[in-house]
Amino acid sequence: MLYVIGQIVKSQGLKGEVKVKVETDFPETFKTRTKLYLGKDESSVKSIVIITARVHEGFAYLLLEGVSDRTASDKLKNYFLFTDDQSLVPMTGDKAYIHDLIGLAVFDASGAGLGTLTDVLQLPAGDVYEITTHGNARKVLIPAIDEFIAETNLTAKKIVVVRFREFLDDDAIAESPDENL
Amino acid sequence: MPRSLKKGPFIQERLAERIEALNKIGQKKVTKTWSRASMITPEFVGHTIAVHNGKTHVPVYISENMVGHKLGEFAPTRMFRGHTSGGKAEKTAAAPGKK
Repeated sequence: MLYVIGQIVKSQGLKGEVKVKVETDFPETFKTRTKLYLGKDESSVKSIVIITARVHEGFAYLLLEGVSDRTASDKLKNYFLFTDDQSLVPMTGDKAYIHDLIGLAVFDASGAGLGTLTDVLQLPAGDVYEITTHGNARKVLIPAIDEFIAETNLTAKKIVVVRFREFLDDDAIAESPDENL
Repeated sequence: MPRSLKKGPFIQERLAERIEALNKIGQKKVTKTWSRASMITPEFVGHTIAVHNGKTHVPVYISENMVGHKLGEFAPTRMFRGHTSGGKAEKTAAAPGKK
């Protein structure tokens, strides 16, 4: 399985360097990673070696092996850079990769199945899980905080949500939108 | 031009009443609101308010450092999900109670 860590947006200079839009939470790892995969999509990748890397203002500038002039680097525009499972940065503490979280089964405290975690929204106030319920396929948003998420078990592929019913529209205390200002 | 200090911060009356009522009984319950312009006061801290973003209610857990901001600031009306598949990028999120 491969994971996107960046996308080449343009050439940089005349010596074959490329500018990469960072798609990872660990941009500094471009400096330590030596081997990546390059391709237009996951199915058509080739292994590539990084010769030099620097990170500046949210972009990475890479010099790749076999790319020594502007003509060669121009051809790589819009290509993606991938990494494999073994090269992912190990997760510690209360953090997990979004791709590991998506698809987890959601249960309440009593063990009843509620649905599936279908998306993670990264909002200004913090991360929010989007849970699609089993029966009527409603999408329910729940903040990813200790108060609502009692357990995240990646090995058992499940999360335990408390106070789930409060997030169903009918249950929350609501005011009328008409009285809004 | 900022709002006049004489008037004080704007908080939708009904929302303030509901939060006050919940505080009185020491209960916490998700409160839905359409009032994005309401300012967050210290009484809101610890509550979860579902703020309407034009399409759906986005739950916002109010923490101390949000005091003085408006509810709408935490429920964006536009969400750019990126051109690459977010699920397959090397991106992390909070995972409370991780095992």
